[in-house]
Amino acid sequence: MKAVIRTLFAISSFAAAHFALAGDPPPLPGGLGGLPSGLPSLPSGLGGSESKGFGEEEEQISWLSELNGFAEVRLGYRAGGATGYSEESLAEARVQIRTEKALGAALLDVSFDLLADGAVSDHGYDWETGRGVLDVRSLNLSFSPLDSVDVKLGRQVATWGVGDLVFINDLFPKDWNSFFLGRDVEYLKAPQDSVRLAFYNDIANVELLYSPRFESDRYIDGDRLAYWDTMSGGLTEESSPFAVQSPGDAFSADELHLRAQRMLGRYELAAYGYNGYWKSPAGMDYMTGESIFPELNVFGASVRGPLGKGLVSSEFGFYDSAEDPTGSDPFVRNDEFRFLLGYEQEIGNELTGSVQYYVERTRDYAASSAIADRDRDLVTVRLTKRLWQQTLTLSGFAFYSPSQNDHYARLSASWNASDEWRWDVGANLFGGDYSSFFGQFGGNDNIYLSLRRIF
Amino acid sequence: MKLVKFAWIGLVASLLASSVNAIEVDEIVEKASRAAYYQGKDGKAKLSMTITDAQGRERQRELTILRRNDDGDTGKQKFFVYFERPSDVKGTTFLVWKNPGADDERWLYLPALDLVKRIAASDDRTSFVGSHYFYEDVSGRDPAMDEHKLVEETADYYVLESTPKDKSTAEFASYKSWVHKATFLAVKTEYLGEDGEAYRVYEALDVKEVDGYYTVVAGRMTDTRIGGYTTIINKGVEYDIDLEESLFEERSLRNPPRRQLR
Repeated sequence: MKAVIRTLFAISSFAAAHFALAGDPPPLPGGLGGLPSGLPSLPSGLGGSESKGFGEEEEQISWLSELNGFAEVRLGYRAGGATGYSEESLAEARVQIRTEKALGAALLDVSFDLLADGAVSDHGYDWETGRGVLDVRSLNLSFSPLDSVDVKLGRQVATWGVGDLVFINDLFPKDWNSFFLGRDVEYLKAPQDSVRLAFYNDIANVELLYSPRFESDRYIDGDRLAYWDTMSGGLTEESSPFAVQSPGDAFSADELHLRAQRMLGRYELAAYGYNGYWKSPAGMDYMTGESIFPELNVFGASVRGPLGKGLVSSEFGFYDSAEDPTGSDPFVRNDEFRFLLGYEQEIGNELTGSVQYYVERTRDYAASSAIADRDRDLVTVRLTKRLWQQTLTLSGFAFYSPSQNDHYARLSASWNASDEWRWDVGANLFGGDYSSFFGQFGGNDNIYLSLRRIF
Repeated sequence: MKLVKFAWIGLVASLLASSVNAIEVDEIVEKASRAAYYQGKDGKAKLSMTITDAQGRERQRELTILRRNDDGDTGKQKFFVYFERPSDVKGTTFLVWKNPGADDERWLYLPALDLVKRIAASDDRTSFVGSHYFYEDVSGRDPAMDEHKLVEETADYYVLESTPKDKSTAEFASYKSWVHKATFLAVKTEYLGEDGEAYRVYEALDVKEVDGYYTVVAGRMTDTRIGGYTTIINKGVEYDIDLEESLFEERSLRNPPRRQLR
């Protein structure tokens, strides 16, 4: 019986195969006709079947076409009700110009923003903070003096580590104002003037980044964004930035970043080191009452690789607050252990989800009287959905701290109407008690809209 | 008794026929896969994509792909992709370690943030950079994932019908391909839905011989489900250019190998 079924099956599939052949075979494309294989003549309409020579036209390159960038208008509205601030959180027109130029064997990379900022009254230009009409994002020279060595010299943006908007061993400067105000996420990273050396070999690739002058974060100082001021017991008002002491001049107050990285099978392993200062004020000079950037050393490691259908990442860092070795100085931030565990997976068609758990643990909690909670932890969830042939991206990113019961949500929609035009809308929403990390920014809830012309 | 004997003969004959056929089909599939994705030990392609949507609006992508086959006959490959256009993604780079039979490793580098982002293994049948081509069309679908049948031979073509072994690996019910006999290039592929209708069609538009390898230098993918089509023109193809394995590492993401990309 089985044999009969098998035979019938064989016959029917044979018949089905023939039946499926009703469609016309395609004509041969150009380039396949003149083969020395004795093929029969081509289907009519394809002529001699010479290659049609697609894409053989010469391209005209002028120096103007080497300039790239965008022009953008971005408007934001403050919905959180912090008093003393203008209602517009953002009112700016920006032009970014980028170009690359080969200079012999080296490559010059230039990128800068021209900014007309209607939300501030002070338009004075500052190279360091990017305030004013000009923000130079990159101005550097890359070259390889040896086969296994890369050098990048000058102003540049740097990023490493495995966290998603959570940073442990990435101690490169961040612009938290831009981040919370709703500028494009590229502005979260602030540039720094440095030299970057990378050595490649089979054991581990080692990178070293040295900034002769310490570069702090563009931190929240009350100028653009309100925060809870424990000294006054209220929200800050515009133009009430606190007094901050610079740690010192170039070469006396410098910073050094190190990373060694290698692959182990499908996993990326890395070890990190940092010698410099806390990136945002983390202490006070009790004589003058000014905020300071105390010395900081960080040692850490990370791993990232596949797990099941997704990607797992983990990062660890020990923050050695060098000016407070015992943890008993109430004017300097304590040592900390920081830990991150993340997982990301595609969960549907063009839909990606990720979760992270992050915790900061105070090392000398018992010795310190100034810290309310030993641990501050965070859970983050990100969902990203792409639609309309990837021209529309919807993204939601939420931070929630179980220990402080505060939260922060970043919602955004980005639509590339064409290769030239892009719309962005989004919101930054904070919640929690004013004494909590995100809750203190509650007065800054904002929504924003931007239109960008890309060239 | 006669009937049984007849059935036996029929069965043996059909088994013989199908086994002869099976070897031949596998060979065709294997050669077609080689012709499309493995020519030479390495290679370079400069692609210009024009994505035309259902309303006729066009978007442009320009990218250079460097590819290197793993030493040995593993089917593993490494790809490095450099985006030139549109200008807001200029300098973006993409690295893939392709592992047949397992998930690929993928990294994306965003220059404005200096961020090397590793990408979670994802559905290979989703759009490649917003085009009508799927990621899998560009990197090659593992032939072992489908059951292949030779359904016709014409003067020019082997006509194959392929059905996914595991339905969850594809949105199509089957696909039919016309493989050019002399070059083993798939000249046309039709993806059929459950209703047997072709909703997605790939066509090779132009073929050129480069360094002894016949290469599709212009192709088009049309998709009636989403509407519109994407045309890819390969503006510069080279083979056997001695790409070092070390080019396919994080170093190149941050610091693209300009000499090889030229």
